[in-house]
Amino acid sequence: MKWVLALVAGLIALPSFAPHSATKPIGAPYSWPTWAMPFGTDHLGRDVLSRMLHGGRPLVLTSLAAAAAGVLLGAAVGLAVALTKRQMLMWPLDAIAAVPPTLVLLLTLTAMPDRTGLVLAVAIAGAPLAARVTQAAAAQVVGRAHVEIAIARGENWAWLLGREILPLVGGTVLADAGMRFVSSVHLVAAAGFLGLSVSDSDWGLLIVEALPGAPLQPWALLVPVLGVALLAVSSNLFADRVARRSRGMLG
Amino acid sequence: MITRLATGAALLAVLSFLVFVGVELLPGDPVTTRLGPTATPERVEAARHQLGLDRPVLVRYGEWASGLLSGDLGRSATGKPVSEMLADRVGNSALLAGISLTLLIPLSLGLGLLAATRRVVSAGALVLASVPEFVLAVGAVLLFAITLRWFPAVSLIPAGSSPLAHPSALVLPVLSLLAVGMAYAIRVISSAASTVLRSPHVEFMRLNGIPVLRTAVIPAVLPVAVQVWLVTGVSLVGGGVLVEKVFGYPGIGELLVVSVQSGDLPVVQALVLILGGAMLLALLLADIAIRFLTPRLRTAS
Amino acid sequence: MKPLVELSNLSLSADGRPLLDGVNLTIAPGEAVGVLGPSGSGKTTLALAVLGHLRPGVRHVSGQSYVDGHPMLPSPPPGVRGGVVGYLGQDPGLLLNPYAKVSADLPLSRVGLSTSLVGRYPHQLSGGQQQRVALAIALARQPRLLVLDEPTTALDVLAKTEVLTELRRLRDSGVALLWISHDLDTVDSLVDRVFTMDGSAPTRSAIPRTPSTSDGPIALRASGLHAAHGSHRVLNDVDLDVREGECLAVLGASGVGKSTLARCLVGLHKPSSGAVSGSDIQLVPQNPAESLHPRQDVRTALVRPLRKIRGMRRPYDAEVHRLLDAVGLPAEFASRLPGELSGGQRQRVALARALAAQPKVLVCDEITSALDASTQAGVLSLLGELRQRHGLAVVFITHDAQVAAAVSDRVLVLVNGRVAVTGRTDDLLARPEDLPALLLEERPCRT
Repeated sequence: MKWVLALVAGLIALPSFAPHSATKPIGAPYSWPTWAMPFGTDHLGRDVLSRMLHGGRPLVLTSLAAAAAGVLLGAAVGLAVALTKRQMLMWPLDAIAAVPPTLVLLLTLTAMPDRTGLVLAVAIAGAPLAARVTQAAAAQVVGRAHVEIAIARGENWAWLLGREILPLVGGTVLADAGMRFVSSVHLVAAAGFLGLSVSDSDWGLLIVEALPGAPLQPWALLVPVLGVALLAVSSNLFADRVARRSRGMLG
Repeated sequence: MITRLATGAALLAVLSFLVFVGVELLPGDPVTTRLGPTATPERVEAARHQLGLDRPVLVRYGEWASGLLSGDLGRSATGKPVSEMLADRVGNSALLAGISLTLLIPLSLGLGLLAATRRVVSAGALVLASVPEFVLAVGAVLLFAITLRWFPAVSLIPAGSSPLAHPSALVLPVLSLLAVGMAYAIRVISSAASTVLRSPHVEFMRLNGIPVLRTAVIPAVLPVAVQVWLVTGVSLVGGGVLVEKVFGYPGIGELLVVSVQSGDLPVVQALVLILGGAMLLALLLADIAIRFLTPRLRTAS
Repeated sequence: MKPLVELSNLSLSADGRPLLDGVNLTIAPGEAVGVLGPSGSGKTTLALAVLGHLRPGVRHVSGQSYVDGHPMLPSPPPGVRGGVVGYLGQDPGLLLNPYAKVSADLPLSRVGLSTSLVGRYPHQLSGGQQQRVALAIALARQPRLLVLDEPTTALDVLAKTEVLTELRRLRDSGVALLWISHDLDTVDSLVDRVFTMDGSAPTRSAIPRTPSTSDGPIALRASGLHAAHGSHRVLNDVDLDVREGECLAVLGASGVGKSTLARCLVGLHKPSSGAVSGSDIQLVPQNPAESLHPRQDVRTALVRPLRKIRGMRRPYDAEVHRLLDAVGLPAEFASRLPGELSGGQRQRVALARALAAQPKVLVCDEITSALDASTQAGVLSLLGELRQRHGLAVVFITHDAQVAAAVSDRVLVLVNGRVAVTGRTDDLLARPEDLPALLLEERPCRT
């Protein structure tokens, strides 16, 4: 499954290899593919391939940042609930969890329509699930006999958290981070699709722009659709694999 | 059950607070967004005063929340009452979600049970779950509207007429929503089914030559399935935003996108709260259903 | 006469490792055969193979299993399971479908149950009733053979007696039995012959008797203990004391509050009222899988109490080796992870970890219940040795009257969170079979 990591790294590096600009027209609108333009041009005559290559990096980086922020926030809350047994700490995240992620995204972007807002929105949408996963894993670990015995012999918080609990929760949190990355990709691409994009060659934006002209030049639509699908499916398969492996770790 | 109800109400209150006050605390300014970068500071100030945004946030939250309790969703930034703007559109979106859910219930149960024993089905559901919903919808347009020309790519439904009068315009949106909901429902149902298939009592029944599907597997899967169906029903209304946008379907999706782009917070806030409330209600109903469908819980009280 | 069961040269494997290697076994109609072997010896695999069932991961290598002349592998012909052969497994709480009521079609009278149970759900039955309902399900289509996989192991003593009585009646009525067990005593009087997994002669693994009289000072005393989990009351006015060098057994069925009592004694659960007096108390927890940190090696597990409780500083090696030696483990185990140890070895490490704190009192919570008979005997005799050598006071919590009789000087029987009776082991448990009169109360099983 290393190829998934290679794919993600590749998407970050690729803009440097784009043959043309992402914003300047290089041919007639809706040109069909040629050797020079393997996927043809879009409605303004821009090179579809170059726009794809430019759009991968912001999609991946924004999703990574949002997933990391969401997992950190969620894991902190989940851990706090498991350790203090105060379910009320979870209420704000439970309330957010009731709202479909797309709407959390839209609400935050209405108030804060920039890249920070996008990262924040996606992080907030992902935090409730991360919190629940962490809480469940941590609650199980906290009840284990070796943790109780460590408490009984008077270990301090740093040891309990850092040596007894986190090493056994970490795998689950990491596996969950993979899942959060997948849903972050969904949401970031969706923001682009809704015209709330953060770059001018966002894959979601490419899709919505190509939609009206699809009968004339289907490649301009098909390529970004396949791009999003490929990234989402492969990172989901990867996350699923990681999750399966981490489940076998508590022995 | 009372505690559960109280928790639901508390969560709704927390949500309304987050939706109103939390959003105010964000550094962005919807008024500036709406008026555009060319607006003079005086115009922005005037607009803020006109919308009442210059008063303390908690006071406005109080007014908003008490309005909600009496069924008043407030006024949009354009001055129109929010409830008026929403009326038809919520109905249209709910119709789409309702048709999808009706198809989803039997299909997800059947395929979910199948996925517990057939890897092909579960792998298919995993792939389906990975693809964002608008990508699925666009894929459906590419295949059925553009390549095969079976159905229209855009749901052209004149304002005021019911979508039911245009059934062919409904096919692709319903299909897309169905695919989105199915992916999740199949995965949850099949995971519940494989847990029960591995359980000692199913092994015991099989070793004594007793059929297990109707007496052991379906009753164990049903509480989980009912919960999934209720939750999916609500999330299809909200999560359908993108699918509606693809097809230009006159539901809440289109309204939301326009409101977000124009920084019209009250409309977005009202929709978030309505759907959040519906989800909390669905979870509550799911809890009741689970209690009713599980003998150990049903006989406990 | 044609045999009812014939295993001919049956070989099964898992992960390329043989589980059964050319097993031959025949059972005549009406014959009762016991199959004995330690855990992990393939007993359950053998029982399931007779029924033509291989658990996931098990592969059929060669040979065949015939029941009434039908080949059962890879899948049995329809009608054989249930019709010719019935099956009863170990844990009654898990065997019954939680969604199905007790049906009126079951031969309840044949297993000594009244028809008043019809219409109840499994969770509304006691453990013994559950296991007899399961037996009735297995008997519903009047099979001529029953495969029994440790049918009484998970039961308390009363339920065990109930089930054994019915099984004896069945055997006498001409039903053939294939009875899997880890201990000879249970099956001995009920089977015609015994088949051992390794082909050796069946042996009794007696539990070593390790009492010692003591009149040292009191090391631990609890008085008027009340405890609750939330609103659920668990312990009710419990008094106990243990002297130096003495072993007190706390005996009770599952769910009577034994573990809560253990946790109160070591200070992990705050009693709602009452007091515990005593110092240097260490807990040896129940589940060997959870009592050690899966990512910490044995050395770390032993060094932490040396540092935190005894205030020792580097080097620790000599003390770690001494502790391992005291529990009968070689010094090189210090660098192992728990995953590389067997259940018995883990319990020895858990004992060593408790000893590292140089305790005066050990509270042992069901420390042998997850172990098979021979491993259990080893751990128990180690415990006896440690008591004699260090003058340790031990509170030994168990559900097993025979184990309690072997290890303790005094015994305290806990029923529903109260002390039902307490006294000298020699007086109270001279005949452990008689004791359960105290545990007789029918109570719904918690699972």
